[in-house]
Amino acid sequence: MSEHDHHLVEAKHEPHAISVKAAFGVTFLLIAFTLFNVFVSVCVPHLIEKFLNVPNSAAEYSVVYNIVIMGGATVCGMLVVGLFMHIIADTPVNRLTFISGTIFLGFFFLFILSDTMTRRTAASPEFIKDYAPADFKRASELPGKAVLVPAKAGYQDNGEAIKGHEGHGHEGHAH
Amino acid sequence: MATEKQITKIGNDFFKTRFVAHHFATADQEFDACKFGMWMFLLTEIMLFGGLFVAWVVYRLWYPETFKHCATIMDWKLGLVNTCILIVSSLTMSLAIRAVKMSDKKTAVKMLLATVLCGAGFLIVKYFEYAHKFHLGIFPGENFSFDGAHYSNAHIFFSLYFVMTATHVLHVIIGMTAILWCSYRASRGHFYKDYYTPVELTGMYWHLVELIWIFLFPMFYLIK
Repeated sequence: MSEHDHHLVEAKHEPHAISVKAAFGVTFLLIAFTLFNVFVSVCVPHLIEKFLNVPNSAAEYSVVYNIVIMGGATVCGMLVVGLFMHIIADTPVNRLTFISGTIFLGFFFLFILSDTMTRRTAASPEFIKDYAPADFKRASELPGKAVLVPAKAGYQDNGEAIKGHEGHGHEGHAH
Repeated sequence: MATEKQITKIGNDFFKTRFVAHHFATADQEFDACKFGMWMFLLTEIMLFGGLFVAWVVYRLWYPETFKHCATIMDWKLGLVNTCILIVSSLTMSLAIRAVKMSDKKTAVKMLLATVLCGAGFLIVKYFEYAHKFHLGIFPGENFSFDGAHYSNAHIFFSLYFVMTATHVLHVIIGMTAILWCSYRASRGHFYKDYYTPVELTGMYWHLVELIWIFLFPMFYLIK
C-alpha cells in the first residue's frame, strides 16, 4: 500500500446507532405481524366456516385473506427497511434512491398486472370469436393430427393424377 | 505507508483517525459513497426478485386453483420457524452494528457469530424442507412428478418455489460468508466507532435477505 493510496484523516460524523430497546421492539413487531399473517391464513378461514357457515373455499374471502396477508408482509418490510436498514436516519439521496426504485418496481407490477388482468387468453372462446378468422379451428377441434406427406411421383398434393405422367393411377395416393 | 508521526497519532488518538482511499477527501465522504453504492446494489437485487415476484403473480392469476392446492402441500410451520430465525438474525445483526459503532469489540463478534448461527439454522430447516419435497417426487426440472392429476400445472408453482427459494438460499450463504469475514476482522480490532463501513454494508445486505423472505413466506406458504 503506497502513501498515494490512502491518507490519514479524521472522521467527524457521529455514528447513529439503533437503541437496544428499539431493536427489540422492531423484532417483537415483526414476529407479531408474522404470527398475525399465519393466523389469518390458517385459523380465520376455519373460524369463519365454523361460526358463519361460509365455505372455507369461498373465493371472495380468499381474496380478502390474501390482501390482508400481503398487507401484513408489507408492514414488516417497511419496518425492516425503515428501522433495521436505518433508512429513516439515512441521507436524503439514499432515501430518494430507495423510494424511486420502489416506485419503479410498482410501475413494473402495475403494467404487468394491467396487461395480465385485462387480456383474454388464446384459450378463451371470446378471443377466438373476435380476432380469429371465421373458419378458424383450435387444435383440439381438429379431427386428428395433421401430417403432411409428400405426394408420390405422378400425383399432386391433393391426390389427383398429373395428366401425361407415365405409370399414374394404379398405386393410389398414400396419405 | 504512514509516517512515524502519523502512527504515533493513531496510537494516541486511535478512534479519531483512520486511513481513507486517496480519491476521497474525508472518511465521511468515503462512508457515504460506499453506502450509496450499496443501496444501488440492493436495488438491483430488489429488481431481480421483483421480476420473480411478478412471474409468481401472473401465474397465480392464471392458475389460481392450482396455486391454492399446491400451497396446502407446503409446511407453513417450517416456513414460520424460518421466518422467526431470520427475524432474530436481523436483531443480532443490528445489535452487532450497534456494538461496532460503540467500539464494543466483544459484543460485536458475539452478535455477528450469532447471526451466522441463525443463518445456518435457516439452511438446516430449508434442507429438511427440500428433502421432504424430493421424497414426494417434487424435483426441479424434468424429474418432477406430482400426485395430483387435476392440477396439471403444479410444476409451475414448484418451479417458481425452487427458483425463488434457491436464489434466496444463495443470498443467505453469501451473507453468512460476508458476516464471517466481518467477525474475523472485528475480532482483530479492525472496526471501531469511526470505521465500521464493511459491517454496516454487510448488515444492509443481510436485512435485504430477510426482507425478501418476509415476502416469500406468505407467497408460497400462506396465500391460498
